[in-house]
Amino acid sequence: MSNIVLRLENITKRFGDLVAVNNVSFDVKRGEVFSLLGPSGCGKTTTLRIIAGLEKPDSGKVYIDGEDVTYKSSRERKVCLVFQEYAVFPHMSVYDNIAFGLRFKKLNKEEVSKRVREIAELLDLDELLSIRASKIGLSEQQRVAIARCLVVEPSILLLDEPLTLLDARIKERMRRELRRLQREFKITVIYVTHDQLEAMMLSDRIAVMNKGRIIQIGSPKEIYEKPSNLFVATFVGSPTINLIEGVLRVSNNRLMLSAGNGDILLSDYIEKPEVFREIFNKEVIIGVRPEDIIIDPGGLLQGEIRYIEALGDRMVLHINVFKSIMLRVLTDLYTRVSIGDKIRLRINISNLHIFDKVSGERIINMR
Amino acid sequence: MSYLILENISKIYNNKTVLHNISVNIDKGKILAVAGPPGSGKTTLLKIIAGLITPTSGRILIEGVDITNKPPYERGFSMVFEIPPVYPDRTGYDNIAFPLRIRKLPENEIKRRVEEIAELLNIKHILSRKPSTYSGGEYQRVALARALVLEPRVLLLDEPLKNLDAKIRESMVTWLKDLQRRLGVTIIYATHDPLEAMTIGDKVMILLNGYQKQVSTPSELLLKPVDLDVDEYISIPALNVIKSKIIEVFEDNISLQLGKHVIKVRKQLPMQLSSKEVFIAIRPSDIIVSDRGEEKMISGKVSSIQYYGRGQLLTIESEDLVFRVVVDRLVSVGEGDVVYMDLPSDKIRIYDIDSRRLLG
Repeated sequence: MSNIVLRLENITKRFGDLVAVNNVSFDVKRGEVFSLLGPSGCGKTTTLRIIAGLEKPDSGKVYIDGEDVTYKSSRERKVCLVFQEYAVFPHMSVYDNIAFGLRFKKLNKEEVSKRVREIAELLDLDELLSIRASKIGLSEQQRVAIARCLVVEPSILLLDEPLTLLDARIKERMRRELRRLQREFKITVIYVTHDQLEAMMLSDRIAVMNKGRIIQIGSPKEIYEKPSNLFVATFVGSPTINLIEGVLRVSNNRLMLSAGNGDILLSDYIEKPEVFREIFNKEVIIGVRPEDIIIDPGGLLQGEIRYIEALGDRMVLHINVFKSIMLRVLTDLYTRVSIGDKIRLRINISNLHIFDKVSGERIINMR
Repeated sequence: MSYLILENISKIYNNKTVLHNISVNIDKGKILAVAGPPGSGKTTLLKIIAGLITPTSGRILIEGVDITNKPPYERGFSMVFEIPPVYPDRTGYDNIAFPLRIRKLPENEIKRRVEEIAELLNIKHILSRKPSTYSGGEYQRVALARALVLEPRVLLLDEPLKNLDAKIRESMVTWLKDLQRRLGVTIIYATHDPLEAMTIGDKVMILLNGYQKQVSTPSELLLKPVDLDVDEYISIPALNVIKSKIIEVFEDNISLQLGKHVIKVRKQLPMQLSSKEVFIAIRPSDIIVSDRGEEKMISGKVSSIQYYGRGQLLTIESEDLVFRVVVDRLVSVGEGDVVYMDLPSDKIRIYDIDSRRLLG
């Protein structure tokens, strides 16, 4: 069997004047978790519904296991969709909920019971089989919804924001749980979410979407460390990346950014100044992630702490440099600083992102 | 004197106590975040403060005046709910003006106040539009504007950001905090998310099962949680909690049995804790991992890696123990690697097995 489980070819879907999905193409490999990530209205859920067979595309093709299923119904496709609201039947027992997935399969009672118990055991639901679904917790309900899907052995499991309604702590546990299950079952998962952290922690690859289009496809590491444009750079990562407009200049291996209020010396020694030749005198936007600015008494930048924000076990320092530029700097909780402190900062130049000011596209790779 | 004082507030429904003696002082212009999982009593507490529910016992004082038995409209508070009702058939302007029209303010005064608040909340562009055209963040800001236009003494927010996208939510938190600083309004903010609470609150109250477990600044809370329940609740990713036994207590350190390992921890504990069973807790970001080991370290095998940009969450299995550890994104580590863990003494917290209180 081919390594490609799902192929989308130039899928477009319109709702009236709105192009919800605009010429979207990608392949999903067997056994991977592939996320569609983007803000509300970016087209991710419509794309998922097209894969599930709940929407017909206006143009383009959907292949599952090499077969063109574009015009096949949902039931004829080997996919199973778990919705945001788990759609667990509250009046039915956990057993009946899971067995419900097998209702079209014409299996005898023993076979159904065998399969349900097998899945239930793997998902740690075996003790709950006789309990009503309304009596169990949210995270258990989610596992029931997933079990109902897995029991039919689909080629692809489709998950539409399955964790959105859970509270933050359970969410974190469920992320680890889902990842473990996926590994154990080696099942292919397509995961839709607006939460970049969730997408990164769960996925092998992510497709970042905006306004119906795919902006970038890559591993979490590629997406985070080499965002292809400003949209991806700002959408992925928390706290949000710092952006500074200006013109980059290099002289005597010193890298300088001419911004509104003068020159900011970013680095006093860069190894390959020729990398920058093509963007001399070009207006750019540089992106520096908050963890790539380090408090360092020998740093080149001087700033004043204006505001300190707690962020769980970390802190975000809002630091004013060059009068009008505010930088977000991430530090751990044990850093001893207070508002008004003047501190020196060093920018981790090898993780600098440089974007064209006009097009917003990434223009240089530092590494 | 504190601006707003809650004194021994309790609430009993059908013989079930949902709030137990809540007592807290809030200074003028500050934010108190009330954090707790769903069902912990947050909304009930906010409704009691708003005057929508009467407490079974206890008092509420504002600027020294007892308002426990005053109706909501005499308190000068505003409350915004998780899903705020915004009238779908009215424009943004009419939605925001609504509470002022009920109070029969002159139209020119209404106009001035609506425009002022819209400017402040950055929603002037939607004043003539109806709610169906708003984004989630705009919708939430219209609801906030309607609460703020009354110039409330206290603003009560119940999970105001719960239904927003993660990214919008993050910027709304910063925005709200900034707005609060400029307006100087006193806010009580309920959320299920401990990180959000610690980000937004000047002080945070941890409310678990109707009990007020701790009220402190975010950093105090992180450094000195009063018990294991609080420590577990505020730690994301989930806290490492291991059942352990104190083998022996020495003058300035103790030896602990961790699975098959014995580690020394610098802590001063009473001698009678020798051979006592305890829970030890350490946050995933406080464990130090390296690929070369010393004898005092615990070795384990990396069973899964979750990369998330600024860090990686590792699951490390060491015989019968499982650790969750956060490392920097630049650490190169693969699944199946053997690594060594150092648990710094000052980051380990020891809890009593029965009372779950902090021992040291």
